[in-house]
Amino acid sequence: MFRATVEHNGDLVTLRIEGRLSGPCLAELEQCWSQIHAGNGTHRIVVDLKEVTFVSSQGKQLLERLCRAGARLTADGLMTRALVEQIADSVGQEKHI
Amino acid sequence: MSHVPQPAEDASAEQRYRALLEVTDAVALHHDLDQLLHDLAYRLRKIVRFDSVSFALHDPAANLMRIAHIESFGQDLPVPKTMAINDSASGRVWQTGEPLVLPDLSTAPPLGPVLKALQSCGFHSCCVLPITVVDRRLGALALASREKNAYGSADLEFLQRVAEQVGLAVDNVAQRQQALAYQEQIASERDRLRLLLEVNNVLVSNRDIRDLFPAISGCLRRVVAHDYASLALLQPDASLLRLHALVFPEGKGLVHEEMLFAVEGSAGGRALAQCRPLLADPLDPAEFPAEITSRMVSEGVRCACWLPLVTRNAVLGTLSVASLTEHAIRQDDVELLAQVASQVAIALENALAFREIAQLKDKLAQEKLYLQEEIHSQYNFEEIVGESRLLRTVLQQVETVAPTSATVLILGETGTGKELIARAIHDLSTRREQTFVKMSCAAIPTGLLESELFGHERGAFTGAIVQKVGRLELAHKGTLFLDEVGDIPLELQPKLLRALQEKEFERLGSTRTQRVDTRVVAATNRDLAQMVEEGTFRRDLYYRLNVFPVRIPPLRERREDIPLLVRYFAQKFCRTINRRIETIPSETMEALVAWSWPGNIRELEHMVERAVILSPGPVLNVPIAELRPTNGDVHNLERLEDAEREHILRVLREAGGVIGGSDGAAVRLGLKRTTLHFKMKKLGISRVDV
Repeated sequence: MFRATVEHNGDLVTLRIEGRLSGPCLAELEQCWSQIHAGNGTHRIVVDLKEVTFVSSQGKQLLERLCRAGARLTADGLMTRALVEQIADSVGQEKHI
Repeated sequence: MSHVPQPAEDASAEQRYRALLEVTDAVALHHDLDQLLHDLAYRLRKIVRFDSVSFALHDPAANLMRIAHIESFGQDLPVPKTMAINDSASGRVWQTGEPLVLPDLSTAPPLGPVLKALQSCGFHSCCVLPITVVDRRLGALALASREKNAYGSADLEFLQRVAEQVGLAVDNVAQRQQALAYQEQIASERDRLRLLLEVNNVLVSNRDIRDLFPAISGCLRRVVAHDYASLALLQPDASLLRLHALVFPEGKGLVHEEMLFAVEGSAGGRALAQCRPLLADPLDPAEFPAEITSRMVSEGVRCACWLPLVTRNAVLGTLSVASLTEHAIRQDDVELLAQVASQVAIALENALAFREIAQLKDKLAQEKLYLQEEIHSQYNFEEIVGESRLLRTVLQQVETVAPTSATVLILGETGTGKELIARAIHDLSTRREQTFVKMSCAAIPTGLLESELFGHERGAFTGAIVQKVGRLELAHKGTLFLDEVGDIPLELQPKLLRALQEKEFERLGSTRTQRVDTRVVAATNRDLAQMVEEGTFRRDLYYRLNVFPVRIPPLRERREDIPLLVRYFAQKFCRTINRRIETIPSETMEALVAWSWPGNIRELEHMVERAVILSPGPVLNVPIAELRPTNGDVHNLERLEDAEREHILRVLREAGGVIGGSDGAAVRLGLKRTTLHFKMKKLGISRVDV
């Protein structure tokens, strides 16, 4: 199961992801991201991974791309937090746990 | 206009015979009795003297004499159309079969109202002759004259011949009329049978009765004129009928499809209760007080017929046909409609059964999807956690073999995730939409294994009370995962080999060969090659299974995945039991990485689950003491430290000596950069060693 929700709060756009980030859901997330990214100009975009239960290696690569494109990742839980740290390390971004 | 011939003078014998021939010709010429008798009257008048001639026929139904035709020349005769047998000369002649000559009516005995009427109109003599055929008497031919003694013996003889011809003619006409009546009856029956056939054809052409009801009404209209036809279905509680289909082009909308009406007080309800057709002509709301009746009457319906739709198994509803005209539906129409209703009832029952089957099929498909989703979410088959080189190699093998239909043999220790890999092969194959069937050969008693795998027929053995489809058949077009394939008994192996090679087998107790297209993925933690050498596993089956072997490394060979797995399981169990754990102490993680994990991932998973349960605070509290080697394992511990040193060195070399960064040794080992530095220092590893 996978669900992506977009929330607008002032100049902050939050993309909340729930469930498993793997397989066909990745294309869906990428499309969702493209729409947000194209329509938000200078807004800050946060990708909230608190409710993510699994991230495949392709999912990790996608998150890295989002991070490089300006998204900030936030996470909760041991696995996703370690993942966010690892991605932040690799793209040289400040960590937002 | 016919020319009225003058009464004949005494005719010669030749003239009479010629006239007789003309009579014969006329008999052959005319098929209509009235026209024939009219023609005969004119022809006879040329030969025989008479001023009036009548043909009376016996009516068997009323047992009286009925005037079939009368011709009088000069004036109209006030004679009745029917006469009692005993009160008329014609009746007596018909009765006796003997001719009657009355030369002078004034001296004749009283012979009923007809002769009296003749006498009063100036007739003086008459002659009456029986009209007969070989096997029966038909009536009488009567001639009357205004002259006395008009009929002599020669006339009588001639007229008897004429009467014989008339008898033949009357018989011919009667036979013809009967034949025509039979023909009409047969044509009517043919039309009705054709109608039933057409209705049947319409019924079998479509399972949706509502769609085809207008066509049924159209067929019926050719035989039974009607303005309204409807089909009402009895609702589950049997107190209401729902108008399922309606054909009423002239309707104003007072009666419409989907309307519900009470069974009680309706004509349809009575037809259902009595289980026979009901004709209401005229339709009277006082007799049927339900609202539907007054609505129909308001719509202009004057007569209507309700037919119960009943099959052997169920009472379904009513078919009704109605007209805006009174007496438009006859009793014989009702019989035909009853036959149509029987066909509609069967079709309706079939349609309802098909609808139920379709609903159940959809429900099963939905349940299957739901259960598949449940299996996926419960066991996380998509979630193969790890980034180690060995695991990546396995996943590459899976991606390579999955799209083919090749048999795969998964080898690996217990708890390494063989089923996960088997499901990954299925999910990446073209069979992913079909069923993945799992069978653990070790979990099923040997005696039942054959039945489970190949299925059995009813009565194949004691206890086989129903037919059973085997797992091989269940996985048709899909994948069969044979876990612990090394536990398949030797005697069953040839049958499995045949099923794999020939794609065919027989169920237990059956001689019919089943053909299946099933991909087999087998798994074992046993050394099949060794078993072949020992003679406990067939060599041919081993080669058949070992088409594409995939070896899953034990956890101790991919220690760099342990931190990922620990975090993954910890987060999963935290969510399950609603705990919040923030950190895992580095000593704990080191201990977990260092442990040999003989039970592999399954053991690790259970260990983490227990640790989460035992951790009330934000720190994961793993019972590390359990991971310390016992006294007998000290030598192993020394070797383990050596192994850890060697492993770190190998990863450092693979990373080109780089410790940090996304491709550095720390990430590859699942450690923080500082932890790796600490470990290197502890194990005496320097960059020079790399």
